[in-house]
Amino acid sequence: MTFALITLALKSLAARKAPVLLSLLAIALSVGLLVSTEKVRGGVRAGFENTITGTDLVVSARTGPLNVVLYTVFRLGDPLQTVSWDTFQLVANHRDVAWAVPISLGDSHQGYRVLGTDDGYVEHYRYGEDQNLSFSEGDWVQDPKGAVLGAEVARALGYQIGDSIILSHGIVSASFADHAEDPFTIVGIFAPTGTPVDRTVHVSLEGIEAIHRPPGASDNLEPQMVTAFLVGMKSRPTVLRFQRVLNTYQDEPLTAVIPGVALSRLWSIISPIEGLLRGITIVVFLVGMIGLSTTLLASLAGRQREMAVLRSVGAKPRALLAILIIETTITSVGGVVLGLVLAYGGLFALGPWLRSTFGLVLQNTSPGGFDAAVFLSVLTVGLVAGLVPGIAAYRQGLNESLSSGA
Amino acid sequence: MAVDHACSLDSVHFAYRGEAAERFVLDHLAVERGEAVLLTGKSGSGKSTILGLLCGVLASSSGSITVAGHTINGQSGSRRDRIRADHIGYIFQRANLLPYLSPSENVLLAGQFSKARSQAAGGSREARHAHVEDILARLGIGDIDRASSMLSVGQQQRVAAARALFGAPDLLVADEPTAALDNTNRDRFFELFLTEAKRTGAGLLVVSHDMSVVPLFDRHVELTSVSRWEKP
Repeated sequence: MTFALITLALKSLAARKAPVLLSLLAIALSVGLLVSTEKVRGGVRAGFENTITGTDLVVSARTGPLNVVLYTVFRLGDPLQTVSWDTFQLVANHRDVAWAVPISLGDSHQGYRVLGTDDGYVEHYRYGEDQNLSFSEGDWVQDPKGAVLGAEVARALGYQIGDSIILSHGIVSASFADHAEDPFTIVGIFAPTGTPVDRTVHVSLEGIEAIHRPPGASDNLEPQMVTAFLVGMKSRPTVLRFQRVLNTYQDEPLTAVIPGVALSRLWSIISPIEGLLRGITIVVFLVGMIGLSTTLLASLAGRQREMAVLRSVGAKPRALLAILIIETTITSVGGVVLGLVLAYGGLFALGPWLRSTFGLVLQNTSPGGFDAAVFLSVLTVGLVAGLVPGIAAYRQGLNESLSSGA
Repeated sequence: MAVDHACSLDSVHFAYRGEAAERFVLDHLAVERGEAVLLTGKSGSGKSTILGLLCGVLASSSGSITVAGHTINGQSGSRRDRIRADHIGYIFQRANLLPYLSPSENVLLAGQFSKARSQAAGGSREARHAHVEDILARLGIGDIDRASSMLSVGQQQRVAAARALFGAPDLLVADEPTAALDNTNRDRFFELFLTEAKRTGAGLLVVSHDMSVVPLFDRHVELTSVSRWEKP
């Protein structure tokens, strides 16, 4: 009996291929859109907040806290004033400080920022969930004229270990102020991280010093100044106190920023846009659901005859209800499954492009509670859309259906 | 004694909900087993009402309605559905078939919702299929597995007749079954259908306004002679 009803439902669906496939496609597209934008949105947010982790303070010359993070972490925003090497040494040797890594920015190569630092950078820079930088090829620079490329720089410009590159002053890609007499040799390439590190050329502080010193200067490559430095404290509770100490340092005006705090403040500026995006997606999803209900209701309205015939051979109203519900359930489940396949297949296929174009690495791309919620809501809408005409068929006397043939 | 009737309606009163102005009163109408009765009347005279009452989709307020000895009035909707499935073969004016089922599947449908009909048709899957092939052949439908939508209207009505005959129900009811057919097809339909109905021994009630088929039937009942609409 139940089997017979399922067979009837399947045959009826198969007889209405075009409208059924259309509503299936409508569900699939709206589910796919909803799920994929939600995944990308979550990925953007997670990627953003996990750009730099494990660093307790970012210290630069006095400026706005957001600008410090934008410039040192995202290589965006206004250039910073420099901090003296003496101050850096003082901080690095402070008894509460576990480590301090200097950062020197200001040069570029083919539009990619150049960052001068020391080997502490490889050891202490963390992103994502406490992940270290790792090398896909080569190693950290051993002499002043070595360079380590971010994954995207190497890929986009087609560089390999041993190639020579020339740094430009400033950030314009076609700069006339090339440091042409001082080529660097690529000695290492970082594995992809999904952070701005991928789009950065890393050299040693000595290398930066070497290309900026006046001709004929001494061979002393001891840096005079740095743009900023990353600080890790020995214990968490000392972070706030040490931040205040740095911010009120008398000998040189400094700004010390807790990166997590600055990043979430930055995100709160972007979040209304994020909310808008989410709102639009939800509206698109709702439109899809309304379309689904409309298609189902319209197709069922044209099937009074079918219902009347089934009633005439003795089908009880609840058998008709069952057939309608089986049909809408098959359509909605099929649509959701197709939508999820589209979304995840699309994300999987577009993953490399998202990574190279937007530096967006989608972590946690396995189906989760959100997908289950989408699945259930589509199923509910489908059930309701099947239930409404089903109940109408249930209530409709056979007499009306008998005479509806007249 | 009611058991001898394929169906009977006695002193039946019925009023459509919300239309309290008039009520339908039927004094007496019965169809014996093996008897073919033609019921004629103008539209609005109560033909659909009688069909609805017999098939158990309308509930009378008083009187007695039986089908194959089972009392219909006063039963639950579910029970009336069961009696219809087990004892009545019904033919609509047109569009009787589910277009996505083959002719044989359409006929087998009559056994899907009634164990009794399924048993009467032979029980096993093979027996039922043989039964269907047999009825369809007798009604002149040879090609039983192609799409029902490919059939002519005349063929479709004969497949519908085959479905009504499936499992030899006690009562066959047809609501103007030849209204959509030309005279040749109409005559062929009645010739085959009446022969088969006689062969199974079922009572047959056909509603029509086509007086030219009166000679084909055992008995002709003019609806106005047995029923009327009464003002309250």
